[in-house]
Amino acid sequence: MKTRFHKKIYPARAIKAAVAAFSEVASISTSRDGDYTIVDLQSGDTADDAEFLGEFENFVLGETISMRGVK
Amino acid sequence: MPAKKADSRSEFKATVKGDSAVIRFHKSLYSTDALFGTAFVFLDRCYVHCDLVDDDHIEVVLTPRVNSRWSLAELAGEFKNEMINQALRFKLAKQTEKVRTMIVGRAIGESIPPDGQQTPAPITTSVPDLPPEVAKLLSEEEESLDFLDDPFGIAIPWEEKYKKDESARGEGGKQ
Repeated sequence: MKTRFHKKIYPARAIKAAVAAFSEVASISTSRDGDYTIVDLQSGDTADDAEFLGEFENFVLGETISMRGVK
Repeated sequence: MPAKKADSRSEFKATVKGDSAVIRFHKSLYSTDALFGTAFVFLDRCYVHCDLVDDDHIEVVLTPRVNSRWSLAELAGEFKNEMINQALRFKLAKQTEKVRTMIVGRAIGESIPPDGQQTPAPITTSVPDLPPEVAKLLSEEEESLDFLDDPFGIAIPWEEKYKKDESARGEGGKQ
């Protein structure tokens, strides 16, 4: 399943951190498409893909929010 | 009669797309601080995904978790309410920033003793909440009280304290 993150909302470091965190439980690939980072996530069980993707998106958002506090 | 052109800056609407609620708003209405503050609150309720649909609008997609007790309408409504809450919070924080900084700075400044004063001010002996015998003991011992002194035996380990008592009782029983 694929999702995309706009560079003006989600920093690359947050996406990288999420990929590192989820790499052990899912197969993840990333690519760039203009202003977006495209993430393709495969959990191994298609029934769980949507849930994994949602958790991944939340993780990226959480990292983004915590990074905003550090300047 | 020509249709009234909608002002996109006043947009703050929620729609349903599949099994998700989509909230779209103009960037001038709510800052990204308010958006992220709200999104953080909702991380445990649903999946939150933000997107910049164009130069002026942000779209937030809320997808309920499996077996969630929240309906799409509830999620969207609560999210919009929380956005207002967060926006107000940041506005007030900005308005009161100088005053708060001054208050904290003054509080810290007053806690530091003035230059030249080597020791802190003496502890007052009039402590109305203490029992009279304790207050008397403190007032008598105040000047000579060292941090190593232990007038009430608080630092004595439990085992040492009660071992002494047991051995004394044991000797008394044998006799």
